[in-house]
Amino acid sequence: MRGNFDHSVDLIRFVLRRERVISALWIVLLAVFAVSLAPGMGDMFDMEAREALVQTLENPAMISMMGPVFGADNFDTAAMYWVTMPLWIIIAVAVMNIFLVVRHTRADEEKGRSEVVRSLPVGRLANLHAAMITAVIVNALLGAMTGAGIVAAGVEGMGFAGSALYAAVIFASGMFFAAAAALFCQLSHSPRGAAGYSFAVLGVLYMIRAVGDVGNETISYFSVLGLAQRTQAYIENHWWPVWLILLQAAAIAAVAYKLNAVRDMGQGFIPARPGRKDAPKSLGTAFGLSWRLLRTPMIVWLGVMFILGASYGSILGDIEVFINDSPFYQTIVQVSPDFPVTEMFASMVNSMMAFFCLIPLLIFALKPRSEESDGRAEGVLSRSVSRVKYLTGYAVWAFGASVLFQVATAVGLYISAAAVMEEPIPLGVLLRANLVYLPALWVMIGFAILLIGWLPKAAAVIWGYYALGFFTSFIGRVLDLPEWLNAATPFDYIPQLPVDDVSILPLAVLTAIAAALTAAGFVFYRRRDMLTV
Amino acid sequence: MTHTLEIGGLTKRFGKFTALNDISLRVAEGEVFGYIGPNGAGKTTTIRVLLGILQATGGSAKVFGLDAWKDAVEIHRRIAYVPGDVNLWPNLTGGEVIDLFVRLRGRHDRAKREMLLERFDLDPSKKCRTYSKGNRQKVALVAAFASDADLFILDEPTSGLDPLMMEIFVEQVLELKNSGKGIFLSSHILSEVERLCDRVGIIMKGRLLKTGTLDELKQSAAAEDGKLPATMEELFMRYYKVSEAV
Repeated sequence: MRGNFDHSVDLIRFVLRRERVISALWIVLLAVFAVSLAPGMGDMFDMEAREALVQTLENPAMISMMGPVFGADNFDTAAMYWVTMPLWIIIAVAVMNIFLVVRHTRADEEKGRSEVVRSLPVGRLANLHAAMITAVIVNALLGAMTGAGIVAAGVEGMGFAGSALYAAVIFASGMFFAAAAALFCQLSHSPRGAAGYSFAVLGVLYMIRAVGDVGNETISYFSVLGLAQRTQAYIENHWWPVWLILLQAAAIAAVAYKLNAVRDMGQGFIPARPGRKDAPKSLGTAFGLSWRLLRTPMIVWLGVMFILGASYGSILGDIEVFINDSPFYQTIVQVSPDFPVTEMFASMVNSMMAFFCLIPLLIFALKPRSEESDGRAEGVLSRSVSRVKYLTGYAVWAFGASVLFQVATAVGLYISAAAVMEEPIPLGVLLRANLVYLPALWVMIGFAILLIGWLPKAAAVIWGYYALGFFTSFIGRVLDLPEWLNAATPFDYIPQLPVDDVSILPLAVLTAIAAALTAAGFVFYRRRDMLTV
Repeated sequence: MTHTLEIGGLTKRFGKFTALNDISLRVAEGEVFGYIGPNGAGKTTTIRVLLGILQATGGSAKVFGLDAWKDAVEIHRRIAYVPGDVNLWPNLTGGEVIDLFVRLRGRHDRAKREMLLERFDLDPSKKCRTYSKGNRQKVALVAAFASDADLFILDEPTSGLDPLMMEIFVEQVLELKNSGKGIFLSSHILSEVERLCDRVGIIMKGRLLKTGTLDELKQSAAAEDGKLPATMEELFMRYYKVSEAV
């Protein structure tokens, strides 16, 4: 087939134009995040604290989470950075690439946009090629900015050689996941499927490296994430894993191109199963519909919360030694001598987990808004379903899930902590420290519902408020923020167990505010026009 | 004669833009009312007000004598709606969506559903993401016709259907009409309107220019400029030019 790549250059420019905001944001935010933590790390830990940090990191539970501890004998800022940071950066880069490639290939195909493009004198592979070249550009920019930023930050031990390798690792890993996503875009029959399979691969590669890092190191070489960590940038500066990753990426991309050239548009190689001919009993009400739409994410997130709780629980056994030696963590955890450190650490974990579980909760609460702008709410509301009933369908699941997710975290934390601690923290204590966050979560959900009713086009503002809450709760503590800023988010009123007493009043007030926000949201929602945007 | 649908002096503004300007019309029981006009004239906006999805800025919109905004839920128990652009949940099957839509209204007629699926030649086991525009349209049509409604609001219901399916659509509408249901049909397909509709309203730029039977409209055009429009197309073009000239 001749001319498979015709007009690729035009398409690349088109894709880049469509990406000018999203990818630029990803690049800047990720680079800033990757760079900004480098200079501070050395100051956070003095020599003694570093020893304690190494001890904690060498605990198998931590290794399974973060990877092996390189450069332990001279644990300088550079080593500390390399052991704790790049894995997370690379995972974020992987997510960025998966979304990027799926967005410009399979998603466009499903929306019918590629059909128009393909009807023009454009090569069969031009679209995929344009997406991949865009990935090359985006990953190269991100790598270069991160590397240059770290060099510019002038951190001891983090010079040009290591930063160049770090940049190459980011680029190569990014391209690997872009290629993997491109492959699943051919195999799967939908963009959701393609993204789902790609994330599954990311998860499996993470698990492979966890198993290998704890047990047999050879296994880790079969995971791109394991390979990336073994470049040991700033420590040993090995380049060979980069070439290996790039080789894999090229091989996978070649298969993807090959399949794309022979694939029928809109089809996949993994066949779609025929679905049900008629709806189950449960799918007959607005409530049943919202459950059906939220069911899968609800179950997945429930599992995620349990696993995260369990992984934090697994380090509780070592945490005492570690925190007592680190002034930085003492600030973060707000250590008080009157209480067991483990319980205080558990309390910090609870507050982090509360923020984490807010992500799905807000997504659930905002669901009626996306249903509305995609034109599907109209299909339901033109039946005999009242606005109140419709919105309730989603609000109930958001509020209900808040309790479920918090309990799942506490139970996960308890089970794994009980396995590693000599005197485990009772489940009741953990549950109390964790359920105490519910009123704050409810205020956030209530606020989202208010926005849906009152300012539907600006509903995404809730994520800004979320970011403010996160910032004041964690980073703010180190920075000494003005009191009014802390007081502007519901999280400031949640008692930190076990140090603070649980007083009912602030919790009751928060709950009342949440109820008022929700009620106001419903009132506005009943009154307003449904929008098609 | 009772009216299933009654609009009086209806106005809808979006900010400064006036989408509907003083619209008045009625649809009787057992009547098929054709609502025609160019793109962007306000047809869909009218329907969205009738469905209580948009709130009227002025005037009244009544269905079965009830207020379209306040009593939306009550009204929806007795109406069936087919949008021109059907948006469905990509991960539900067509069969599931049809059942959902029918159940959300109330009564459920299995036999009728099966009959319609067969007539419209629709495979209900496929996920909605795999349906073509025509097939998505069929999902909405089957869901509407399978329900025991008294008023059918159809917004360009045949867009994307093949001629054979359009024939089946016409057949179904005539059957509804004969059993005394009211039908409000907004359409671009003038031949369809000509065949089905008892009365027609022409909307241009948010104003209802004329309502009446097809003959009445042709006669009134003839009275105004001395030339009898031979076809529906001619009539439509004539009003289009008049509204452009304003």
